[in-house]
Amino acid sequence: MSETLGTGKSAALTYELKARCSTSKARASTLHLPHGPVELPIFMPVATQASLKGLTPEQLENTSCRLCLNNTYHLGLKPGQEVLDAIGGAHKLQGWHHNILTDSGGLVLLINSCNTPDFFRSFQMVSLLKLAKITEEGVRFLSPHDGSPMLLTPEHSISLQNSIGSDIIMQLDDVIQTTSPDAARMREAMYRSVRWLDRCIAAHAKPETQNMFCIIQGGLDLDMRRDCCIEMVKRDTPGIAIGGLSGGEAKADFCRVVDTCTGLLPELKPRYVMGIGYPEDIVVAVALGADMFDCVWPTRTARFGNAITKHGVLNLKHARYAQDFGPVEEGCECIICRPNDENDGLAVSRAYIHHLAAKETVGAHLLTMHNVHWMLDLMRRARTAISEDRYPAFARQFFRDYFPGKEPPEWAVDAMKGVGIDLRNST
Amino acid sequence: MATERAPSLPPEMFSFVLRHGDYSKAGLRLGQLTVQGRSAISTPSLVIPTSRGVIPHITQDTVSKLTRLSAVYVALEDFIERSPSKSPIFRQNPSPPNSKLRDFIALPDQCLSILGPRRIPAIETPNQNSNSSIAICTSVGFQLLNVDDYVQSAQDLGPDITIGPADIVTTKQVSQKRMEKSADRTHAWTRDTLAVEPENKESALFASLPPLEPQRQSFYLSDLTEEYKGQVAGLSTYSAETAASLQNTLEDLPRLCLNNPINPHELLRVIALGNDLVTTPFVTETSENGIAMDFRFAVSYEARNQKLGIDLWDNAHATDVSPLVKGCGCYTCTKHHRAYLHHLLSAKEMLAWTLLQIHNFSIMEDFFEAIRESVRKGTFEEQSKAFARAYDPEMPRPTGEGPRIRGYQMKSVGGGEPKKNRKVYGRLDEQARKLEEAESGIATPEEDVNAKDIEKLGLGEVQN
Ligand SMILES: [Zn+2]
Ligand SMILES: [Zn+2]
Repeated sequence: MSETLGTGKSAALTYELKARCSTSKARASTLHLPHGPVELPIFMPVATQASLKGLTPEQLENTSCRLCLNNTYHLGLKPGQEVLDAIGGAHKLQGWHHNILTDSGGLVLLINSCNTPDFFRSFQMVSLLKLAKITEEGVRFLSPHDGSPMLLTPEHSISLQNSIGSDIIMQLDDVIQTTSPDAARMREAMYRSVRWLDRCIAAHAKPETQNMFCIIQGGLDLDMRRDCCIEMVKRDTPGIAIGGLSGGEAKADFCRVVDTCTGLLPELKPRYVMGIGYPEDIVVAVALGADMFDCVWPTRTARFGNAITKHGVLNLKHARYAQDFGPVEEGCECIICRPNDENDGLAVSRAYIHHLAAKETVGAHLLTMHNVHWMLDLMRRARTAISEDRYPAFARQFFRDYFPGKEPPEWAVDAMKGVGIDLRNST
Repeated sequence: MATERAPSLPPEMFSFVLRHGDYSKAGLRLGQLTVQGRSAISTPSLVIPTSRGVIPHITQDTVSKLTRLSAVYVALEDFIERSPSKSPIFRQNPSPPNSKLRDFIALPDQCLSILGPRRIPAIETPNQNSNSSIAICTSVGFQLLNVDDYVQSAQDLGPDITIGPADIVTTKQVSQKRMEKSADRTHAWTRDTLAVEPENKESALFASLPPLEPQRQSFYLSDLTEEYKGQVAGLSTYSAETAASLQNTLEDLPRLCLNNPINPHELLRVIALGNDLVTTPFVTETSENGIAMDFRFAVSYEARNQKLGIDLWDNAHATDVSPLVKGCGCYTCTKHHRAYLHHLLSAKEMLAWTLLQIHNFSIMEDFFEAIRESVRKGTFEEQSKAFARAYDPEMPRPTGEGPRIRGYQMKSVGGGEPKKNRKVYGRLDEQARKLEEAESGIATPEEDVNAKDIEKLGLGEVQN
C-alpha cells in the first residue's frame, strides 16, 4: 500500500488515496491528522465524556484505536470550557495521545448520534426536543444541570471545540428528523446549516491545527442533498460529513442519500457518515464511497452483555452461555479472546462474561475491549480487501457470516447492486 | 491416626519461612510464603477480596500490567447458585498447570488464589449456620452450603490456598456460649476436612481459628499441633487478636487474617499482632468513595495532622493537573492527574474507580514494603508511633456518589439498611434519567429492562 493514487491537502490534514475498488465506490486511504495517521475506512469508538466505558487510554490504544470521539455537549457541561482551557484541551484531560473528533454539540441536543433502537431515540427526542428550540441565532435549550436557559450558537460550538482541541471538529448544523414530512422546514434547515457553516468557518480560531468538517443536510430529499453538497463543497472544508441520517429513516433511504452525496463530493477529501452504525451498515456504506463512521452501539451494547461476533451479536447474559467455555469469538485476536500463551491473552470465556455481565463493571470493560477490537478489525479487513481489489467478495462473505443461514437484508442487496456488487452471488 | 491417612503437602509445593520475628513470643513477624508456580510473597502482605472473581473495577490485564498485587481472596458463594455441583465453574476444563478456579476467572499468574466460603466482608444472613452447613448469600438468595460440599468444591476448584470451614457468627452480639459452639463446630469441621484424602494436593489448607481465646479451644489447638501438623499449611483468623493469643503455638504456620481493618491505623495493629496476610476490603471501598489514599509508613517523626486521603470529588481539583499523590510511581499518578479524576467522578464514568484502584493498590503495596523494611531495620515500633501521630485517625468521609451497589450484595436481614443508591437525578424527566444511566455507571436493574427492550427490537440477538 505504498503507492498513492492522489493526495488532498488542507492546513491540518493530508488525505492520501491508496486504492479504489474496481467494482464499487469503496476506497482505501490514509488520513494524516495532527496526532498521527489513520487508515480509512475507519470506525471511531465514542468516548462521550473523555473516557470509554472504563477502559484506560492504553487499553483503548491496544485495540488499535487511533481516532476516537468526544462529545462537545458533554464536555461543555463537564468539565466545562474554563477547565478545558486551564488544562489545555481534551487530549491532556484524558491522557490520550492520538486523534480526537468532536461533534458540534448541537446534534446531541436533538438526538443521540447513532442509529439506536427506536425506544432510545424516542425518549431522547421527547425529553430533549421539547427542551431545544432552533432559531437563526442557534439552538436554545435548558441546562440539564439546573434547568436554566442556554443558547448554543455556531460561534460557541466552535469556540468550545477549539478549547477541546480535537483534531477534527464539526460545524454546528440544523438537524431535523430525516423522516419529517415538512419539506419547507427541511429546506430551511439545510440552508441554515449552510449559513451556520459560514459562521463556523469565520469563528474557527485554529484552522492550522484543527480540521473542520461541514455537514451535508437535506433529509431524504436527494435534490436537497445535491444542492447542499454543491453549496458546502464550495466552502472547501478539509473534510465532509453526511449528517441527519441515523434518525429512523428506512435503510434504503439512508443508502440512497449516502450514494448521492458521495457522487458529488470531491474525491480527495475524507467522507464521514455520522452516527453509523451497525457492522452491516458500515460494510454497505463503504461500498457507497464513505470513509469514516462512529457509533456508541458497540460500546453501549457491551454493557448489556452483547458481544459482536463474526456470526452476529450474542447476548452473553442468556443462560445458554453459562456453560460455554469457549472464547467470545474463536480466533479473535483481542486481548480477552486470545489464549494465555499468545501475547498475554486473557482467555476469558463466554461463561465468565456471563458470570460477570451486569454485575461487575469489569464484565463491561472486558466486552468493550472485544467489541471495539472487533469493529476496528472489521475495518482493517475491509481496507485490506479494497487494497487487494476484492471488496465485493469480502462484502458477500461478511453477510454470509453475519446473518448465518439467512438472506442478506433486502436494503443491503439493493444498495450493493447499485454499485455493482451482487450480494446473492454465492462465489 | 490422621498422619497415616492424609499425607502432608510435598515441601516444594508450599513453604513459609519466618525471616524475622521472635518465635517464642507473639507479635510482629517477617516471612516469605512460597507457593509453587507463583512468585514468593514477602509478608506481611495484603490479600485483595474479589467480587465474582474479579478485583473490582480492574480487568485482569490491568492487574498484570499496572499493579504489584500478589494474592486475591475468592468467595465460593460468588460462584454457586442453587446447587453447588451444577454451577458452571465446576465444568471448566482447566489447562494445566492452571486450576479450574484460575482458568474460570482468568486470574493472572502473579496472584495467589485463596478460596473461602463467604465474601469479605460477609453479608449477614437471616439463617444461622447449622451443625453441617454454612449460611451463605448467592446472587439468587440466601441458602445453606453443606460443609462437605464446600470442602469438595474447594478440592475440585484447586485454589492455591483453601480456607478451612469455620462456623463464623456474623451478627454483632455473640454470647460466650455461641462462641464456644462456634469453636467446637469449627474443630469438628476441620477434623472432617482433614480426614478426607485430598484429591487435589496442590491446594494448601489454612485451618480456621474462630475468635476465641486459645485456652477455650485448647483441644482444637492440640489436635492441630499434634495430629494434623503437616496437613495444615496455615491458619485463618477472623479477629486480629487471635494471632497474638496463640503464644508459641503453631508459630511456624503463616496466619491469614480474614478481617476488615477500616484504615491503615487498624491495619498496622493487625500486622503488629503477628498476622502475616491480611485482607483489606477497605481499599476498594476507598476507591469507590472517590478518595485517593495519601499516606506512607515511613513518615517523619515530626509530621502532624496529615490526611489519609484526598477527596477527588472536591472542586478544588477541577483544574489541578498534578498527580494524585506527588512522588507516587503508579500508572494513574504518572499518566493522569487530579483534574481528570475529578472530571470522571463527576461525569460518573467507570474509569474513575479503575484509576483510583490502581493508585490505591500502589499506595498499599508501598505501605507494606515500608513496613517490612522497618521490621528488618528494627524501627517498626517507632515508625508506627510516628504514623499514628502524623495521620488523622480516619479516612476522609466520602462526599460523592459511588457505583450503584449490586443488588444481591446488599440484601439484609431486617431490611433496615439505609438506602444505598440515593436518587441523584430529578430535573429531567424519567426518560432522560434512564438515558443518563444507560450512558454511564454500572448496570442497574432498569438497564436489564432496556436490554430486554433491545432484544424485543431484534437487535440483541441475531443468532438462533
Ligand atoms: Zn475478542
Ligand atoms: Zn499513584
